[in-house]
Amino acid sequence: MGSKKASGPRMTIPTQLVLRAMLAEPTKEMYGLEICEVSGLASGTIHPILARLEGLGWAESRWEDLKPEDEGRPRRRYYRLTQDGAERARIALAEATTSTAGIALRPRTAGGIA
Amino acid sequence: MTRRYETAAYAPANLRLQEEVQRASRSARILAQQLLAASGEMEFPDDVAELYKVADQIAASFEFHTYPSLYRVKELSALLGSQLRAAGSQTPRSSSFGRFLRDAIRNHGHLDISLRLAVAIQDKDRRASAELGKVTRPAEWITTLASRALPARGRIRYSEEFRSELAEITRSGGSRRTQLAYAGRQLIRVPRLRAQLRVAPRRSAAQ
Repeated sequence: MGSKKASGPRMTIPTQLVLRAMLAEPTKEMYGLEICEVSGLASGTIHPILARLEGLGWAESRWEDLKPEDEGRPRRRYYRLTQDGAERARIALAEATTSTAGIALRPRTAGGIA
Repeated sequence: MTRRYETAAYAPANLRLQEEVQRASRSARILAQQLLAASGEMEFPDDVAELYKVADQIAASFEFHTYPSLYRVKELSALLGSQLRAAGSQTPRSSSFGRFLRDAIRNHGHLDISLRLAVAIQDKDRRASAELGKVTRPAEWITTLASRALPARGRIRYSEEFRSELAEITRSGGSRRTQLAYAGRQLIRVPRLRAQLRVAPRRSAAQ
């Protein structure tokens, strides 16, 4: 367990999808449902991931700057990756892709492994 | 100087509203053209030019029409109506200006009726769409329950965030079932979110 691993989130598939969605336009702020749409994940899945990313300092969030009574809708919570977070996310995704590719490319014994 | 009036570039979903707006647009155009033609011939050219300005503003507003501006058009029309009637009361009915004003008042009446009807239909539509876009009670209740299960420092923030997303789903036409599905998913995932908020440093959930 190196310190490098402990500094990042577990790169589960949903985490990777959220990071990819946010990295698509790293400077753009996105609200929850937008991230769901881009990542293809269900709405309940992303909030724990975003909370984890925020806790680690990879992402930051803020309330939309509007008066709900003027717009007739509640304000949105916008998320985006921090500069450092975007950098780390890129590295983590590249590592995750490499390791997944490694598993997929491993040759299998015809009869299976005992 | 002369403005070429177009038919209202206005296409709300409600066909009756569209028809009334087109009728009002036509009446406004006729009235403005009538006032413009008269401004050079009548004995009170300045008064007619003033009336023309208001009528022109009404007719022009249909060219660049936006949904909520019907109220503003109605206000302008009321102003024009009162100006026409005031001018009419001060002018002998038998004079050519008096006859012209009677004609203009009649044309303004057509405009006024169409506008009143259009605003009434629009208001009814809005009430109906507000009903359609309402978040259902059970969905609201479930998301409230989900946020209450969170640690204190994340409770207010996520309560607002869930409400905001639910409202977004509703506004984009999400059915009762979609709303319930959203709320249910938040509730199911609450233990995971709660765990993350407990583990994560303070910066995450506060505010």
